[in-house]
Amino acid sequence: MSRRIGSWWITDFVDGASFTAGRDGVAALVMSSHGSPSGFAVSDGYVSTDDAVDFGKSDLEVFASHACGLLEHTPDNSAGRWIPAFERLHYLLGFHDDSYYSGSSHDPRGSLPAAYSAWLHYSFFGAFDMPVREAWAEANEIVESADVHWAYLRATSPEADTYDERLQAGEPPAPAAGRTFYTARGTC
Amino acid sequence: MSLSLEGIDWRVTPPEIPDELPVATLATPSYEERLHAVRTLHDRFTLGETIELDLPEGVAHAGRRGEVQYFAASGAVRARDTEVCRAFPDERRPWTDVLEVDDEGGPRYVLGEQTSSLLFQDAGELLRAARLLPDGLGDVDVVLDQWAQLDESGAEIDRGPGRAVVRAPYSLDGVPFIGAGAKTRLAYEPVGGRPVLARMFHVHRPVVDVHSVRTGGTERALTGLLRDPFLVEHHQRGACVAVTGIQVGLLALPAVVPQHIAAPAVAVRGVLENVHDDRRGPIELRFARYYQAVSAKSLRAAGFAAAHIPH
Repeated sequence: MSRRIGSWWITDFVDGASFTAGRDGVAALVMSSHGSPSGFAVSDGYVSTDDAVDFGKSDLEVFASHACGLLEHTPDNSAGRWIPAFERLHYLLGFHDDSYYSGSSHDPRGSLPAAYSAWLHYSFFGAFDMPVREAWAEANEIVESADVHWAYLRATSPEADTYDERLQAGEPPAPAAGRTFYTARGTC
Repeated sequence: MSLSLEGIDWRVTPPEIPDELPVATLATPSYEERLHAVRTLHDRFTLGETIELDLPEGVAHAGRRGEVQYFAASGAVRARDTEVCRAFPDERRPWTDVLEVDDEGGPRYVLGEQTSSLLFQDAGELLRAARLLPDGLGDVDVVLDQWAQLDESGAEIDRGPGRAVVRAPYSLDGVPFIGAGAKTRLAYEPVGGRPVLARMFHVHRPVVDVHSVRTGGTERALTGLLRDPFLVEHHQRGACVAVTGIQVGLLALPAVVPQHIAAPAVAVRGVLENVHDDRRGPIELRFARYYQAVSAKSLRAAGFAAAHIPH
């Protein structure tokens, strides 16, 4: 099984006649594009919460997007609108509001989350031991201004607690029966 | 081809940009100059035995208890206590001095005055001891992370406060630094009934000289916005460009990016409405970008070669 971390422009993860086949044969994916609370741009269009999105259908456990407002959570518009897309996905990482680096300049936005969530820990054994959610916060506190809010939506279950999940070589169990979800946000 | 000021749907008042603004020459503190801060943070986080690591971004002292990290591009430092960060099994935090307030974004939690004062005092003492209290410190505040638990339908079944973060911005002669590269933040967790420092990050390149630079007034200073190829392309295809937030300041680049001058810029938030999409009809795309507010010619006139401004 491939387990790669990095930044790519992707096709999409959407099932449907008008989209190309989904590609989620990696454990973690960081993506840069424009967006809004209801969807994000991809190379050949736009993926929205109205689409039959299945994150994690093959392998994907962590999907990170810099699209603006993807995880906005308000009384009128719950971040739970993305829950139908959680096939076996563990974490959707994004922003509660606008990301200033959205749409261009890939490097630190992909490399810093990858470094804090895995690369540093596996390069220097025992050091930089950081859960995925914390690595996302740390990285964005470095590359975004203080008026931006990182956010995440995670699935969890009694048999597969994802709160402290790390990016690791082994395949973590997927939340399945009795799933519940947490969304959180904080200032960058 | 470009947009015009009149062609933008201004949902905030367009700024009155002065004809002249300051431009700052910045220093980059060396590792040796930050060594006192690194040692102070190492002691404060009781990191114990650590190894010194040469990283692509700088130097770190890291071990099982956490790490303190120096960024060579900016002189920034960050530090983390792994054990405090591991103290909770989920997002819930047992703050006792918390209020729920309701604003335009919905209900959110804020820390009470008594605990906030404790955090301000602790943060001030640590930054003073680490010699990380530079000139230009702005109004310090404290904010709480927010969380909500959802069921499969997306409905909230619980919510509450998370970590508390003390934040400090910076300014120069009343002009704020904008961007990711001028801030101090200290994150606290309620462990054993008291706030305990879990993480800190400080980035602010010291200002060593200040000049004035001509902006040419509001419309000229907004040239970057009006000529943004992404916005212009969508506008030409029928999209509406709306600006929902704008701030004028000196752009401080992220801690991992070298920077020698901080030039006037505008931080713009907005939304593209009625964007054409072949498959589903009109969609909406938000954007947030920095634009240089002075021309290369103006910077040259002030004695600077150019300014690196990322999109």
